[in-house]
Amino acid sequence: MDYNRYKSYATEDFLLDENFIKLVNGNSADGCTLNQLKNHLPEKSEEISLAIGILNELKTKKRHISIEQKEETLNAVYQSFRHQIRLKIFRYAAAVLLFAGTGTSAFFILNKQSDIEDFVSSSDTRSEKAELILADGKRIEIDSKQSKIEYAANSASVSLNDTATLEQSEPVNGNSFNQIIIPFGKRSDILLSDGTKVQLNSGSKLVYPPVFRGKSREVFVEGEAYFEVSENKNRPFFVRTESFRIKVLGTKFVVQAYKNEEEHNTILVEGKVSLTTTDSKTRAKTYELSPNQKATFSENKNDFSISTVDNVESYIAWIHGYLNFENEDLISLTKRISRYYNVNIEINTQNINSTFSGKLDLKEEPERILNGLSIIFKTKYEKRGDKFVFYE
Amino acid sequence: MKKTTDIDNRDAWKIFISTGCEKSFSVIYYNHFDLLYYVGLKYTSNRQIIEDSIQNIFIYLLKKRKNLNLVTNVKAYLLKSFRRQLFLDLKKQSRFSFSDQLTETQFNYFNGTEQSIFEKEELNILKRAIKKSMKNLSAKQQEIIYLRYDCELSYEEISNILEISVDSCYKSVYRSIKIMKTSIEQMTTTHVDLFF
Repeated sequence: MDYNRYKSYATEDFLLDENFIKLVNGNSADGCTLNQLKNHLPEKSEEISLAIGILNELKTKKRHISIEQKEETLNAVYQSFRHQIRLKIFRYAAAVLLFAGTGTSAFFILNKQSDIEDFVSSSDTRSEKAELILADGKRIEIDSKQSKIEYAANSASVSLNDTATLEQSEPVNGNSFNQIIIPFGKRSDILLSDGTKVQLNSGSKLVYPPVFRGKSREVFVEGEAYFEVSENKNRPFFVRTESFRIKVLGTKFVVQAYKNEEEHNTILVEGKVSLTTTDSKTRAKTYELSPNQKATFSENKNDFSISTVDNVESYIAWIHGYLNFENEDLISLTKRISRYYNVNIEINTQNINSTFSGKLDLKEEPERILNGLSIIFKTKYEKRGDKFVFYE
Repeated sequence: MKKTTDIDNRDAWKIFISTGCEKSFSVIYYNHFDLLYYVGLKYTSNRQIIEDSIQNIFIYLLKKRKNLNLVTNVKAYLLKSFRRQLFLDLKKQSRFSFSDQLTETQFNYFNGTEQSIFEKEELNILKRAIKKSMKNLSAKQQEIIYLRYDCELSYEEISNILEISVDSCYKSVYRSIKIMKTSIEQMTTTHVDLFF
């Protein structure tokens, strides 16, 4: 390397010098090193150091992008490409059929927004308290931790915790709904007017008509709910979530569709259900579930993946008053406990590699349960303000 | 790990446009994803839009494969298409934008960079001085400095991406470096020993 030409360099000259940049970036052509350069130009050491510092700082720190994320995006590229080609063929086929004068409308069965979806998207009701909201907008606060709400058969009168009966006038247009909002730390048992039983877990919302009219029965759920649908072959039962629809004939199953959780699951206990995606931008995909199968919905792919579960009981343990864990670590354990009791749990320990299997009795106070966990996981634990903290 | 060269990418491109080979398509994709993503973060913090734009340009490549030309510089070609696509997608998303130039003026050198969890790094005087000096540069100047010094692109590549001449590209870098150096020196003259 020719060092002489650097003798008159100022900091900015170094910063603009192609060879110098390459040297700092570690891809110098002639194998010269920065130290050699500094040794040859002791009088320029300040300028060189400043230039190196600036060059290094101009390289911004970058977040790591996981290979999974890249793979997912690439898959989406392929999928969308194939889909667009398919649409082309569809359009072509439709044109040909139209030309031939045959009805092609069956070709394009679109996922039309249902009344209940319209209602949910237009009334984004949130509440910190447990509430029952009637068709006329009247809100009834529910104090009990475990509430019981029952609709009389085919009528709009509601009984609350066997202690109060509420009447509501039946809506004329048939398009009004009732809602139950259950915050974290509470649960509710609901008997709908058609005899369907719903158990709503903490942090969940159920939207349904006070009386089912029309050819099908339809409800909407956000969060986690267990359904025992009363059988009626002439009026199929639909459970909608934000991203998919479940068609039911008479069966038992769990839906987990918490807004802020990545996994949205449907676990079938008994009978048969079929699941359909409801994103109107892509073609709907439908799957049938058999008992002991779990369908996991992926937002990115707008598709389900089906797997078999050998511990279906653990998914419905909460309806019997306990939580069932199998090989779960402290983080996922405390996530479920914190949701159930509505308490803040902080984990300040690295000691989270061990896992836990077993049952936790939900009738216990949260403090007792967390104390037990701290012994199992060999961490310290204390209550700080309104927070429970695990630490080393 | 072996650094992929421009020639590797050019070869992959050649094979892809002539045969539609999925392997070479994914080579091009994986070789450039990070770069496009990081560049995108300088214009917007909306990661969904960045991913969508990346998706869109690669869908475009698949769709228009037979009409694509040989390119000498795949990186510059992709960055140019990505930048155009991103501005388009951003404009589509912000319905209230009145200006056509909206997105370019949003370039910010230190957007989307990992926050340091070590506070002592924030005490680094040089780092602070550079962040501050960057504020004296226009968004366009920051953009060019970023492509030159962080992405390590050549003047030819930058002029290709931004559709400006090599000469004005060089002049912009020269001017920006002068501005930065003056402001950095003002802030650090008393702390020279801290650079080591």
